Amino acid sequence: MIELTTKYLGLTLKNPLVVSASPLSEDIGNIRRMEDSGAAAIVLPSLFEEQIHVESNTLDRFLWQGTESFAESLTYIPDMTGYNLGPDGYLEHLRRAKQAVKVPIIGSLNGSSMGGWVGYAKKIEEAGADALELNIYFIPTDAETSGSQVEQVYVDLVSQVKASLHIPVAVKIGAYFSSLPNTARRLDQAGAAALVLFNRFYQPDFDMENLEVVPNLILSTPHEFCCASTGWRFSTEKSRQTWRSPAECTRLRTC
Amino acid sequence: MNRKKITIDGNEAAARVAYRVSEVIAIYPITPSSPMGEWADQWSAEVKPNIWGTVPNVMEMQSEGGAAGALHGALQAGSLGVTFTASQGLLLMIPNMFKIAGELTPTVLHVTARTVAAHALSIFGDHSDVMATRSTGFALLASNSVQEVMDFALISHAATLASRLPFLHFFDGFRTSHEVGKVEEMTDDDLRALIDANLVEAYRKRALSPDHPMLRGTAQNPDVYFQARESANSFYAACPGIVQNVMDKLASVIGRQYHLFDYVGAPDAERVVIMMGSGAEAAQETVEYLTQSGEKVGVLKVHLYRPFSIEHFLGALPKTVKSLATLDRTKESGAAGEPLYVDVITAVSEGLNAGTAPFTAFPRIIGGRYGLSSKEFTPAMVKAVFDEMKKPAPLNHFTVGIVDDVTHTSLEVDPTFSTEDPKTVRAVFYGLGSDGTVGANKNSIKIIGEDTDNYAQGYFVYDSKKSGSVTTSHLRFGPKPIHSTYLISQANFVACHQFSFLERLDVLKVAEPGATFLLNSPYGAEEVWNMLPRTTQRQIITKKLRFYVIDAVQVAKNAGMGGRINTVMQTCFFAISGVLPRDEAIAAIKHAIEKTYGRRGEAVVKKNFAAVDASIDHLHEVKVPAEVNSNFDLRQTVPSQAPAFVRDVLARIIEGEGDSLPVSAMPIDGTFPTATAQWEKRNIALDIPVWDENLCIQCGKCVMVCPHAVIRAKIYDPALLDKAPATFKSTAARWKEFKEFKYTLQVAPEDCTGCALCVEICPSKSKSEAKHKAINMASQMPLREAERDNWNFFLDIPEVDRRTLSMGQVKDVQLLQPLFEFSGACAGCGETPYIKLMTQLFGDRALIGNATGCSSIYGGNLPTTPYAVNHEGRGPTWANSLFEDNAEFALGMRLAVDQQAQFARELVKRLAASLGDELVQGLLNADQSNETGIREQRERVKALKAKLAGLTQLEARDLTNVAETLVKKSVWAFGGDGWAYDIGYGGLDHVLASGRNVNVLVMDTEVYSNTGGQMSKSTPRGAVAKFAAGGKPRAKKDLGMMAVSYGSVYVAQVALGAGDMQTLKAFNEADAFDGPSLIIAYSHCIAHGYDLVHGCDQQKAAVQSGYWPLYRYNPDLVKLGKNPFQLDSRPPALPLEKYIYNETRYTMLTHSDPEAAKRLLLLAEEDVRTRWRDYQNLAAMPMNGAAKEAK
Repeated sequence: MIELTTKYLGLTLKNPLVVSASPLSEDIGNIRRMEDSGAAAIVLPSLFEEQIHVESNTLDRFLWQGTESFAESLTYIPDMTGYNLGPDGYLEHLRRAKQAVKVPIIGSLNGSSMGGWVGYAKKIEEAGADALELNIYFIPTDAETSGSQVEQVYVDLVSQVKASLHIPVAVKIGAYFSSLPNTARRLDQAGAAALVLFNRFYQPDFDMENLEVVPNLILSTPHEFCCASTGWRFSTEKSRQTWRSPAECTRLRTC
Repeated sequence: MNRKKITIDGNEAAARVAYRVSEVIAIYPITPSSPMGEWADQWSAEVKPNIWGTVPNVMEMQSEGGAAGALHGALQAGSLGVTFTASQGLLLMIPNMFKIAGELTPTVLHVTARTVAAHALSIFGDHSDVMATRSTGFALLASNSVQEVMDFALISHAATLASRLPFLHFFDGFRTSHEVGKVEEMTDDDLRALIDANLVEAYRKRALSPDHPMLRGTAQNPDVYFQARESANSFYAACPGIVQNVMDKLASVIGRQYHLFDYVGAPDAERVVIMMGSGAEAAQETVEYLTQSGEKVGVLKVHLYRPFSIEHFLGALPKTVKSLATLDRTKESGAAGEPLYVDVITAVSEGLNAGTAPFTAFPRIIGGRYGLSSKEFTPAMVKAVFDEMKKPAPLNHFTVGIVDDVTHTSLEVDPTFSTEDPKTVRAVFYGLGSDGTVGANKNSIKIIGEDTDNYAQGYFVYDSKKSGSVTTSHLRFGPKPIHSTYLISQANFVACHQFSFLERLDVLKVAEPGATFLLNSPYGAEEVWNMLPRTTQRQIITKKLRFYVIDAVQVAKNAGMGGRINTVMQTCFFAISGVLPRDEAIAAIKHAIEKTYGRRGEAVVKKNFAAVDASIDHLHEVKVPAEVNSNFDLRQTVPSQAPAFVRDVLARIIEGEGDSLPVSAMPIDGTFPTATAQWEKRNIALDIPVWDENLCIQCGKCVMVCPHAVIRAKIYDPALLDKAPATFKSTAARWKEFKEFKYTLQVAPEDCTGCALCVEICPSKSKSEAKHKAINMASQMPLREAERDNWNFFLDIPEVDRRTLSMGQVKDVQLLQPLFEFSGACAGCGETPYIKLMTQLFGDRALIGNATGCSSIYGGNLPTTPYAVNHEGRGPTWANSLFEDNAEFALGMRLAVDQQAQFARELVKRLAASLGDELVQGLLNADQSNETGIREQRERVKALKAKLAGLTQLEARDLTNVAETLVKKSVWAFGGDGWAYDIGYGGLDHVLASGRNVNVLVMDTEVYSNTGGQMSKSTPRGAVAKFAAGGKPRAKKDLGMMAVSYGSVYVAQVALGAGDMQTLKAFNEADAFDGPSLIIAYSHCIAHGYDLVHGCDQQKAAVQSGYWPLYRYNPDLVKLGKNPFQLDSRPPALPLEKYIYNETRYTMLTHSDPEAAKRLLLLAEEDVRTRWRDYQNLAAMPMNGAAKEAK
């Protein structure tokens, strides 16, 4: 019998299979099935601070539109007492997920402001997450911002979040760093307990007929396992660094 | 007992009481009472209980008649019921009111007294509706202020149970219903103290129930009806005493004592004014002022008007009275006097006869009218009445507040007389609709009212336009209770929140000397002075105003607030006015922001906070120079070439000076000329479309989709270009038949609203420049002058000959002159393009009956109206009758036209010998199925009239008067879904069944748009609307199919943004069909909750998802052996979600109740599938009989 138990983020997992963040884990039923099917831990889909803000601002904008202009119709839409905007729905889902299964539940967070990263991270911890995966998706667009400044943003972010939490923090990053090993080490030093080497930037398409940028959602393919494993999975336990070779990754089919 | 002080308006005050003491609430929305029903609906959705711990059952009905019926039923079955209404709505309840009173059934109707439509409709306040119910047997109880509304609401509910008489509790529409004031709330225990449990039990025992069955509503005969009617007399006699007892009970609980008639003034007064409603507050303020200088005057405030207790009335008057003046806020044409006047004369004469009057000599009694349709009623007017009473021969049946230069009823008023307390802060704010000014002011009142000991009052004046409207907020704060139920004319603080207002409004007219002026200005403190018009500079200098500026737009933008400058300006108001210490004010503003917007998310709160924090640093005082140095002044209201009526009358209204117009200026019968909107240049668009003639394919889609007819196309002889302005654009016309012509697409820069729908729909994109189309938006200001000249030149280009165009092609039809332009509809409106299209096709021979709703407001609200005329002076003729009767109204027009045409034909035959055979045959056998035929008939009628002028027979004159009806007329009933699906459905159904040639256009916004988004039977399943806050649970009514089921009605379901050709076909076929036609037109609307620039995209999505199938049912096809039902759109190809979740009316449910949203989505998807299946079956049905033979 092969010994499958392993440690990840300081958590003891019954095997090295962790379900990554995806819409599948939006449903409690699915989460139970994941556990039944043998998953050792489950990462919930990301809480997007930006999405919360957009939803909030959009609702506000259109509840406001046209109001206070004409005496007979001072408002057009009933204003409800609550809209479940903000992280409450996510946090409630996390709580219920924790109650539904025994395997660790890892929260996932995509913030857009420093205050947001820290604030939401704390809330996710309070809701009972066993660990937190930070999904850092920062696309620099300013020519004045250098590569090292971008890396510093990542590092500062991880330190700030880690400083405010007790639970372990994983960081999901893409491959687009000048020196991935260096960045990896710095994130490690900043407090990351794990690095998840998989991140895809949404890439819009260009409609050449209409000269328009159009949204284009291409979902991930198995092929991308290989690409990801050219980077390595790092597992750090405070002082010890274990480096697995690509060959070992391929054998275990884990990333 | 510590009762909280709250700042609310009259509607909320009434609703707060009515909700908690009721079990069944059946309503129908009508301005200005709608908010009461909306409060009830909201609280019910929030599961707030009444005083018995259960949640009232709130139901929206199809009309007020329906609400009264449902209420009656609920009362009979033993529930405590209430309803809210006004004006025509109240009138629709009258039959049930007689019954409810006749059955001695307790209930309360809360009425925001509003004008009954006579020569015109008015949403504003007076007592004509309430007075029309005098004979119903309801008790009538009047409140004068927001506090009284709350108190009298409870008195009504208590007194009705005690007396068994139903009560109508009324307060002035808008003046009280929408006035925000500081009041003491009533707790549940206060309510319980007044609502007697024994009386409730007795009420229940009288209910209809099979457990103790009884019969009501018998039919009675001459032998007993009269006696039975008289059997309730003792209840009416006892009621006044009962009401006073309830008032006394209330006083013991809350400390405020009321009487049936409350007297205020000198105890030895000789002149007393008698009135009811909010005007009595102004009168009280005047009396208190005058008595200070020893004047022997007083005001008797009438609260219980029915039953009218002569005893209590006389008992309230001082015995020193020598002269009485009654003031009625209604007009009863043809009566010996207005209602209160007549009652007072009766009371006084009966009292004197019986020896029960406090005085021994008959006082001089005069009666007058004031305040119709919320006309201002000020202390100066009260004084004018008191002064008139001093005269030896005072004017009776007078009017006050207007200038009557026709029958000379008006009193002279001294406009400088004021009773304003110098210690009161009086602030006037000019804002733009949707910039948040009103909301911010309401919050300011809350802050001052609830965080200080000051009293606070707010009243808001809106515009008659639905976009780019001016809002004026009148705020008062002071240490004493505020009885000033009139607008501020002497403000010590004036704020102008939109710089562009300065060029059209004299905003500082209301500023008193030494006042403070706050201006939102893109120019800093150094440059702003030179950018002000002369009038503004003059006012600032002469009145020695303190002048502050802030670039609120920039501050708001930086904070992420977009155009919402409200919190910025509000912070500045507090900083400058010093009503609260600065830090306290800011903290209070932030607290209010959190309370109001917290539920919309942290992001919203944060950006509002950012705006507040940034404000004060950007506020600057301006050093005022000594001299006026501006080289420009306010814009001329209307061009000098406008017709006299526009220049002399409508222009005054546009300027806000309508109050100064005398009676003689007004049409005697409510008739107004058409084609006046063209003279009101609003200049509200920040950006307007600019044409790139090289890319344009001249498809006409932009012209078709424009809601305001501000982008138009013409083809013409190139020689005309010789006189064209320098920047006028043109290009070769892309028509095979018109190759030698030029084509121009021209924008009306001063009328455009900047909605950008034209740009959005334009299919012609540049292959080399991204985002560049054949039309693109650009800043209006720099283009204004040149494009104004271009537009005027464009208008002078002759219209193309209609006979040369193909009426079936969008491209051709969009060359036709629209006879509907520049309405006050919202920017991006989805209804107006359909109207415009109809006027292009049939406008010069159209009669329109328009239901009340958005289309009657943008179609007929003063000062200027959009229906226009062509160069022959012909164009649509239009009238709004009522809401529920519009189909019948249009049918009546058809009956008249047909009857006159019939008569004309008969007369032609009778005069045949004198007219000549050729003309007679031509007239009687004319083929008017196309433009050529119609033109030829017009020529014949012209020739006919010429001939008739020379004839002496009596029939010649008769025929002259009806000759024009020999030219085919197109009769239309216009309205929205509120009319067609709900209140007007009965009439519509009858018209559809009648077989008469009436064309019905239903502009379906799927909600009551005009009154603020209440649900209709057209609202789709899952959409959120008022009275459907949890998502409409049931499917949309299929009005089209109901009409199709007749088999003899032409029915079309269209969506101009998704299928303009199909829409055009439907309009042509509907007009051609000699019978009733029904067009149901998808109309995107601001109430759907998205940026209307995407209106056409949503229409396409609605069609592609199968939600809104396009079809035409044409009975004429049956005799051709064809299936009359043609499905014009394709099977569903887009998931429903991709259509509906672009709209806040759907997405908000996914936030507020995700489970319900999911459930309703599944049902809605099923609705689409089922409907599509049924329509497809109908379209695929093989034709039997005739079809087989034809083949």
